[in-house]
Amino acid sequence: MGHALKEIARVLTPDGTLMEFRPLGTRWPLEIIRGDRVRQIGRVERAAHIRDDAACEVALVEAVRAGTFLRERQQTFDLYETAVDPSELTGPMVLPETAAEEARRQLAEAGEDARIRVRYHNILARYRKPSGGTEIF
Amino acid sequence: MPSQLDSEQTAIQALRGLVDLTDARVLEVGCGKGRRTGSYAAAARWVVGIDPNAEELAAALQKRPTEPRFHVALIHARAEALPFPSETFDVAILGWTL
Repeated sequence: MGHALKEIARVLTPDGTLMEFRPLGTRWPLEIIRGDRVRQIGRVERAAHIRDDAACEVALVEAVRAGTFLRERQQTFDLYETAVDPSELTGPMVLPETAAEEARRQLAEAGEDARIRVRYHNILARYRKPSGGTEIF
Repeated sequence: MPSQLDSEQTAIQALRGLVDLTDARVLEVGCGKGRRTGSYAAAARWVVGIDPNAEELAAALQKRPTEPRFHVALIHARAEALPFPSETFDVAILGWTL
């Protein structure tokens, strides 16, 4: 990750901007939606092969400490993955089959136009490449 | 039926709140299947998407915006070895990539 950040800094213009966003945490709400109504029915777990956000944060903190980037602003937002059936969800999470079966049961109860979705809480941060005077490599 | 990831476009909305992509030369690192590439291209001067996964890149090529005002290039590459000269881009975006 550290090397990738250095490469990105290299191809950015002085004062260029790096935007980075990723899901926060390891357990995200699993919801059934129908029209404007939302009901949380459980949680999904972050997939094991997905790097955790702590490791990403460490790499970015190191890049800031090294002067490769300046951290300017950050905020959080929610991003949704929505499906007709739990088997269609392909995001960076694991949904055990027992939980999927329960979700199907509740989906059927909710009605034909109900959908299932995962709500990923994300962090978004803006970084700036220093315009000069900083040793990047 | 495939799932819909961020059909509400909350990611691009949040992004636009923090950076102005108007006329920017944008590098999308880890563009995957190109779900967001078109959104970036709508405002940018041009967008280059890179991804190390050839299958996902092929899917991104299928959905690449074709309108003449959109300038998008998709390249098979890794973030650790970017095949571009220094100081090529104004904005780099990593979304669910690191």
